[in-house]
Formats: sequence, structure tokens, C-alpha cells
Amino acid sequence: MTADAIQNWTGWDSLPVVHFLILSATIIGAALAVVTLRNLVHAALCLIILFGATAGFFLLLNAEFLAFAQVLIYMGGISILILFAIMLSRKLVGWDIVMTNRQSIPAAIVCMCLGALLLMPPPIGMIHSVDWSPEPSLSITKQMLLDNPEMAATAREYFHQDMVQWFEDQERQAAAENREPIQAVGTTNWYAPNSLALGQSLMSTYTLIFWVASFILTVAMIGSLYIARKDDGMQTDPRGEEL
Amino acid sequence: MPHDVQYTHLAIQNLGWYLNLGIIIFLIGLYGALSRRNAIAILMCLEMMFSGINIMFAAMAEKWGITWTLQSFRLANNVPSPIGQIFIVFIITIAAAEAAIGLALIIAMYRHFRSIQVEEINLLRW
Repeated sequence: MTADAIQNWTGWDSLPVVHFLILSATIIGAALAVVTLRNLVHAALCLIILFGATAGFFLLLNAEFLAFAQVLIYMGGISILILFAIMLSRKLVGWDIVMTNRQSIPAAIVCMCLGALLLMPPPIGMIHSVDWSPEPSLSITKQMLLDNPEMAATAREYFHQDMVQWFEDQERQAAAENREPIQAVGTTNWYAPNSLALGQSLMSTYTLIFWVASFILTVAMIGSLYIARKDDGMQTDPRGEEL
Repeated sequence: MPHDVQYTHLAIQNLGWYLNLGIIIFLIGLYGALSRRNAIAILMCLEMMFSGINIMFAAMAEKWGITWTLQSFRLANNVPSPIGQIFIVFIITIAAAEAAIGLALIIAMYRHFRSIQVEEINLLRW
């Protein structure tokens, strides 16, 4: 398949499509392995692959800060926590042990019905009945940039390119292809430096969320220490083992 | 903006692919959380469900989440809001707290019952 064929088929540039297909195959395989594998350690290792593929999706979606946060927190922290919890509990591996409970088949039916309800084509499915096309909150034209040099400077700084130049390129392309040029761009659709925007808004508009999150983390840390601590004399271990 | 002005989308084209994928991951995780007997496996499936939802949030944020207003061009301090990514930050935080507390509960449960199979934990069952 050539790059042009992929682009015609999907409407995308070819590189993100290849990345998307590889990452989605990885993530679905890892998810099925986590659900079905009998050995919990293997399932936890597949969960790490799933977290890595999620980080790849974040990179694909221009959310670079979240990708690295995902690698640090999930692949580094939570997976180690899960592996420790597995190692601290009794080993339960073997073909004679039933890994699923009696709700297994009803659970599968419920999940399939929910999936059909969400993913089917428009008359039934909920996701694809919604019109997801974006509405620009502000459209910028070339004339606005020419009239307002400050705005042009800001646009250049944020978008890493000269936007007047960009409009002129578009006009030249349209003239070459004998069609109407693009006159305005909905600003919701621009590429924006996401880490900058995320950090600035977490420190200004949405700083309450930041504080609440740190408070929740503190409470969770103290609570989990309290719950998991060893009770001396409260419960005697029948086998006299140290945990 | 007037309706006859042409404008372009520089964002991702196929949001539906990402939404389908997120929902599939979520449903696989839901099946696992409903059907596994091991408490740690249930917790792992919960983390998987969070991952699916995070992918959907990131796709929506990429599609039209970052809103540039006219003010953000006039004032250097007034910045756009990547609200979808802020949701993901919050979800990651909550998931980390949930994993810590859940695993502490599982350790306490194992210490008490010598088992982490959820069907054997029936102390408070009527």
C-alpha cells in the first residue's frame, strides 16, 4: 500500500494511520491478554504493554506531556505496585483453578450489548449518531493578521510558523488547483503547543483541580499506609508466617 | 463567522476510530472486571478501563479541545484551555490513588483471609 493509497482511503496522512494500526493492534492484544491470561504476573506484564501503547496514542494525539506522565506514573509506578501486590499474595496458578466466576457468560453478554449500543451504525449506536464535527470558536482571516500585528506575532509564536505566509501559500496552492482559496481558519483546529497550554492553564484557570488532586493523593497515601500496616496482636497468623 | 467563508480543519480527521478503540478497550476491561475472581486482576482491569477512557479524552481534546479565544491573542497571560487533557490529568491522579488504596485493601484482605479471591470475602454479606 502506498502512502497515497492510505491517504485516499482514510483521509489521513499515511504515517499516523500506520502508527494507529500498529498501536491499536498492540493495545487490543494486550487488553485481551490481561483479561484471559491465567498467570497474574504475565497479565501484569501485558498491562505494562497496554500502558505503553496508551502513551503512544497520547503522542499520536499531540498530548506529549500526558504521554510522558503515563510512562512515569503507569508504566513506572502503578505496574510496580501491582507486581508487588501479586508477589505478596499467594501464588494461584494451575489449570485446575477456575479463573473466572459464574458471571462470566452474563458479563460477556452485557459487554457485547453495551458495545453494540455504543458502536453500531447511526440508528442504534450512540457514538456515531453524534455529529462530532468541530465548530470554530474564532476564525482568523489573513486580513485580521494584517490589521493586527500583535495578533500576527502571537499567532507566529504559538503556531511556530508565519501565518500570513501560510495563508499566502494556501492562496497559491488554490490558484494552482483552480479553486477557491481558504479564507479563514477555525482556531479550534490549529496545532497548539499542548504542554505549554496545559501547564499555564493548570497554574491559572484550573489551579483548583491541581490543589484538589494533590490533596487526594496525600489522603490516599496516608489512607493506604494506614490500611496496609501490620496490626500487632490483632490478627494471629494461623501458619505463623511473616507477610 | 459567516457561513459562506471556507475554513479548514487541521485537526485529526477520524475521531471515530479513536472513540471505537477507547470503547473496545473499556468493554474488554469491563468484561474482565465482571468476570475475574482475583482481586488484583479486577484492579488491573479497572486500570485498563481508565486507559480506554483516557484515549477517548485525548482524541476529543485533539479534535477541538484547545479553544483559542480572541482574548488569548490580545493578552499574553490569557491562555487557551486544554480541558480534555486536564480531565486526563485528573483521571490519572484518581487512578493512582485508587490503585494505591485498592492494593492496600488487597494486602489487608490477604493478611486477614489468606486469600484474594473475591468470592471468599463474605464477612459483610447477609
